[in-house]
Amino acid sequence: MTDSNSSQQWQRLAQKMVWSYSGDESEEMKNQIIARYRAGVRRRNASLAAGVVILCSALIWPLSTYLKHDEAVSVKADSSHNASDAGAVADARFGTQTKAPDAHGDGVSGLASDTSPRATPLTPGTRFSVEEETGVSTYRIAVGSVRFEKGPSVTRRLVVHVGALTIEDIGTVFTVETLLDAQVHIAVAEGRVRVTWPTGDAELTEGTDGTFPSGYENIAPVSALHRDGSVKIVPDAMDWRTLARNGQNRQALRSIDSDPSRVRNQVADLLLAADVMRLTGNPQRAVPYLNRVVREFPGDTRRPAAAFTLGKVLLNELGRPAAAASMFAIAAQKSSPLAEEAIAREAEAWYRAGNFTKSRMAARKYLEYYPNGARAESVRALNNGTP
Amino acid sequence: MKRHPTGQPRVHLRAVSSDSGDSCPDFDTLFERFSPYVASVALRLMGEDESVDDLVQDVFLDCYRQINCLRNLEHARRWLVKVTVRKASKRLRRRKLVQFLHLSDAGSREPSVPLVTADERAQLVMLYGLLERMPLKDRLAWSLRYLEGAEISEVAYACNCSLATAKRRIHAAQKMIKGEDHD
Repeated sequence: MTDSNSSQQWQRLAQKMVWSYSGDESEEMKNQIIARYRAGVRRRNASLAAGVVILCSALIWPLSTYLKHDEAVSVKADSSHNASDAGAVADARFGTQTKAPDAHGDGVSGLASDTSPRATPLTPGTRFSVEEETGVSTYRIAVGSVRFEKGPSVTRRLVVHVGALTIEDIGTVFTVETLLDAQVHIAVAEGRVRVTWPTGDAELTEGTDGTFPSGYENIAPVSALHRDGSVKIVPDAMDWRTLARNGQNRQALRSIDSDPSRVRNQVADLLLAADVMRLTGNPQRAVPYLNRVVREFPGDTRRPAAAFTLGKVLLNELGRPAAAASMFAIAAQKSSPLAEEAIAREAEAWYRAGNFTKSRMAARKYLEYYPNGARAESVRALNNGTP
Repeated sequence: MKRHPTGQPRVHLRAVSSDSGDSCPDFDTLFERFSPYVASVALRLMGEDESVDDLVQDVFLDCYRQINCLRNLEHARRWLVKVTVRKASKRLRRRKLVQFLHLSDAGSREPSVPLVTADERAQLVMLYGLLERMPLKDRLAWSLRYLEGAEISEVAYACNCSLATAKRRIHAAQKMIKGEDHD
């Protein structure tokens, strides 16, 4: 077969291979094509949307993490301490709400976050720290403006320190703001607050406000805040207290070490210095400061807390249970919110010191006062000599 | 300017559409006019009717997507053939792979053409048996040239190759068919 013949033969044969569609088939096929096209478009749009969402998430997540880190309250408790340790200082930066640490692991009676007061920073760059103890939330404002709310369901006491100024709430909503010339402005929206400073005290009622001395020269006013939230404080003015309140405990320690007289013989200074020592891993150096509070300020409301903290340091970190038991006994004043926990710990400390008689006495005291207390079971075991 | 393998400068289809004087055809027109043609080309390229409908649908789906790029009916026809060749090529390659993996019976396929005699049917079976054994690109070029009766330039355009390559492929396929014929 020649080339042209062959070609013509194949082409002739191929011409018989034809395909056609009826009107219905054609219509149906067109509809299918359009349906496939639309499905493809939908798929593509969905993929695009998913891609955009993933991309946005990928961009937003690190940003929000960064902002959270910079702004939200971040509790940085010393790693050697349980966050629920009484007296543990947490550094709180600009954020919306503090959170009470879960205390079950340490045996402190259950502290639910909804029982904690609510602290809302009102200006960017506001810096405050929070100490969560049994029955009391202690805030220390370094700079800025914070609104405090303590609803009726909040059982904890709320104590706010600004320099040497102490504000105690009596079921309330109030705002604390640092001002120029080491002044602090307090406005009460609801309830009452009691304000105490080294040379006096006052009570503010609903709808009233007042300006009080902070007692510290270097309290930064709100007006010193930059737009970006940073604080306009020259380095020389950053004494160890400011450093400590900003969570810069190591620098605060160096400052104290360079001149120990910087720690004044005031309860606030002594407690803060003790915290600096504890949080920098020097619990033995916290002891003298706490001891001074316990011995030299018998009438101060913070004495039981100091004694309790000292007891914990002595018991858990320095292995001196007998001395710790004495401190817990001081902390166990009936009026103290720490009393329940302190008595339980006293019983435990005496037991660890080998003084079972005193341990049983403390245990019985606990069971008498708090038969249904959070530590009742463990204390009962101590009373029976089978901890 | 990037040049097409056929030697023609590749220009944006939209840019020349106004010069051609023809308007862009709508999809219904294209489908009514070319669906039997595309189906027949697909049947001749594939050698079996099982996948013709799917292939036609795939081709016209692409057409629906790119309808705005088609200048006129002649351009649309050439473009549709090109897409048909590409889609057929994919399917044939897949079929070969399936046969290679023994996942399908190669001998079960034969063109179902109702209008041919038994002798012609036997010739078709023999032809597609030959085509199955030759390289895919050669097969497609030869099929377009001798079964479809396309010009060499059209073959080159549809196979996306140069004229020389198209001729070489057709020649190689023809040589193989002639050799088998002589045997």
